[in-house]
Amino acid sequence: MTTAKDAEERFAYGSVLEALSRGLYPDKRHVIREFVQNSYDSIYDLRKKHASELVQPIQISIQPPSILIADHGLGMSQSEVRQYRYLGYSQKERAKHGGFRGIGKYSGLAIAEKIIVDTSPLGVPERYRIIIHADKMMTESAQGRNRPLETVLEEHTEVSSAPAKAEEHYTFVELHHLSREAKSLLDAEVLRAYLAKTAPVPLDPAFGYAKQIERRLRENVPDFLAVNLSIDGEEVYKPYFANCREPEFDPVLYRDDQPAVLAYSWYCQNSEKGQFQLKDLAGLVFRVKNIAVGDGQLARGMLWNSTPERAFYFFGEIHVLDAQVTPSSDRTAFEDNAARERLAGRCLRISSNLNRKAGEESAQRRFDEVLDKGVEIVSRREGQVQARDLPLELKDQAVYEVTKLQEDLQKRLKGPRTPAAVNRAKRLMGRTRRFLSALNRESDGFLDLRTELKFDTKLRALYDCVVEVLREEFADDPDRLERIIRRIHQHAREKLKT
Amino acid sequence: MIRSPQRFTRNKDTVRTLQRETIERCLAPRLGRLRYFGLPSSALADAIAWQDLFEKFYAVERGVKGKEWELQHDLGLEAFRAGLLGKISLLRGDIDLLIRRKRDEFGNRVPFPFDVVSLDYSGGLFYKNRRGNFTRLQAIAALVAHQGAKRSDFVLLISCNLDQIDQGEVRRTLENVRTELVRYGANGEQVVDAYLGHELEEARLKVYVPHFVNQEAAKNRYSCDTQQVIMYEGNLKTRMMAFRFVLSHDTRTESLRSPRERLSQVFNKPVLGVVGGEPKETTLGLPKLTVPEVPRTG
Repeated sequence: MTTAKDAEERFAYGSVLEALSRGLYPDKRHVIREFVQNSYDSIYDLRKKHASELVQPIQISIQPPSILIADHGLGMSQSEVRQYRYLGYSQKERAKHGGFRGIGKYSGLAIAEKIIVDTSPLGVPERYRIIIHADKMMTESAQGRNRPLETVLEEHTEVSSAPAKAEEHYTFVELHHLSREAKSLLDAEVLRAYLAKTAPVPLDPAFGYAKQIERRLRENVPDFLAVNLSIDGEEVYKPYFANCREPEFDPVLYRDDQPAVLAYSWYCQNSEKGQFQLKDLAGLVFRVKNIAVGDGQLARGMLWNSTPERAFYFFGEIHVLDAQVTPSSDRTAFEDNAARERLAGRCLRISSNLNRKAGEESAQRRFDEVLDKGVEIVSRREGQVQARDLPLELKDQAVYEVTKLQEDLQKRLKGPRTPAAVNRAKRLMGRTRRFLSALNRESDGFLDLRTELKFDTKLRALYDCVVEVLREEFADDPDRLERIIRRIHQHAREKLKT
Repeated sequence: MIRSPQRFTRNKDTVRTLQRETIERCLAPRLGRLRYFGLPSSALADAIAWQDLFEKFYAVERGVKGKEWELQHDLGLEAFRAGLLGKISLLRGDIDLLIRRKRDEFGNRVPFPFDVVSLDYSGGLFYKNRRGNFTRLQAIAALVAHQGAKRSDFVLLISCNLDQIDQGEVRRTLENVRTELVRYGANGEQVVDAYLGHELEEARLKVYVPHFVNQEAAKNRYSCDTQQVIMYEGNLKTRMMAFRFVLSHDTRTESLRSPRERLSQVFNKPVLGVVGGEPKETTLGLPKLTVPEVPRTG
């Protein structure tokens, strides 16, 4: 039975607005992403319902102290416009749209004085305007007037309409007069860098593999849509690294024995050594509806249990197709549920595959480095012997270096290798063998200070003793030992030759 | 409430076409890359009509007191609907203040110089502030100075109605012109009397405004070419005038007074009266100024 007192009870109060806006979107850039996401959804709906309509870019215009975000999507119907004022209500479907909670539109409360939305739905000769007076809502909150949420929303929002051309369709949002804390959003470069990483924009056409990747995504990701976006008239594209290898594509299945795809990934490996230099652009980024969830660090944390540094040897995307995998409101992570666990578990295959590739790549690269170094060692020692410039005291050192090189090459020939590296290694092994046998044969190819300066027996014994001590002391630093021996030779010649 | 976009008369469209002709003729080498600054109205009529000529529009909108954001928002919306959002930069506030301070109400810089400045005032030119200064005229003077500091050639378009004309100021100026003309030996007495006694305010503004702009131009090393003055009927049958000036910067030009040849051009060029969208020349029945030929020396 309902009593009069019950009827007056309210279950949500105005202060929830502040908590939802400020609390859920601590990073102000996410607010812009929310509105871009709405534009994307509207364009998605347009494409679904009116396939012949041209998909036009989302436009962002920075007009300090405001930001304008506009699209020629389907536009909102009268009922959607009414519902726009509701908090936590959305007609969008989780499986089809980027946003679905009905909260994102209020994210702007935290940063703007007003949110002004104009929309004209396709096929309807009317347009609508919604004004959300964020300043008044926040002032109420600051004054401690915690009125029922419905009253606050009703009082501080307006809806009006006017005639329009039926063929016009758009949504135009002004985040009017940004707060001081959100002023960084008025920097086009800040916004561009953020949206390039997160928004559902195309890959940069300058990226040589862009067409190939987007073709594969259209073929493998149902309803894949990349929408052009411009900031102050300048296009925004997903970033890329030019120094990368050809992309590889990797579908992640729900089960190994069934063809249903849980996620679809592509990645490119660094063509140079190690990690990509700009770490905030490196790594694999999860995308739901082509909108980023987190950055490379999220996939690194979820999928790389070992050698996490290798996550950044690659850049690419993992498009999540499982509708049960739900991004958090600010899209920095996924909601913790069974679907997320399944995604993480199944995608481990990607990380182990990439780790293996990175490991092989490192080994091959190291092999090339060993070969380069080996050629340098052998060439240097061969030159010294030919020029009779190798002190006899360093003969053992030279033998040791070349023998060690032989062992290293033999070991690496059994690991990951390229045919070119194998050929080089074999040629170098031949040189080392010839060099060592020549050293064993040669007796007068070395600089023998004792003979040259005609040391007597006592001096010879003393000199051998000193060299022996030096060898022991500098066993860990053969380069230094070599320098010392050569300096002794030089000084001894200067002092004793006459 | 959603406001309907401002509508313009056929006459205004014709004025805009005449202004376009001036821009095309005088800034031909840079068409498509021009920079506009001015009052295009929240309907963005100038920008829409001339979008192919310009790379960037710096549009000023003051809005209605207390609800400034509304018309400013409408301007952004119209820019988007017209496909011009990427070309528009909105500056908020009173254009006269904005010109003088070189900043808008929110501290955004007014990036002088511009190729075309359009001061399409809805009111008259003689608006006075509390201190009794003619703020619009001061703003025009400041504008010419800012442009001059950058040595930039430009087209200046001014439209206004006949509100609040300061008869004293206009008479004083025409009297000064009379003195100047008489000194040169022209039939200044008769001509200036005819202008001062003419039944239409347009006759006097036809001389006053170009004389004012020419003076400011000369102070800032500009050579100023005054195009035919236009008079027309605007919305609500308001009598309007439109002026077009082509200012060319020349470091050699520095005289405190505009040369008498200019004065004779200003007086003798017939006015273009636009009626029903059709422009037609008229002298308004005013006499011609005859300037005796300067004897050649040497």
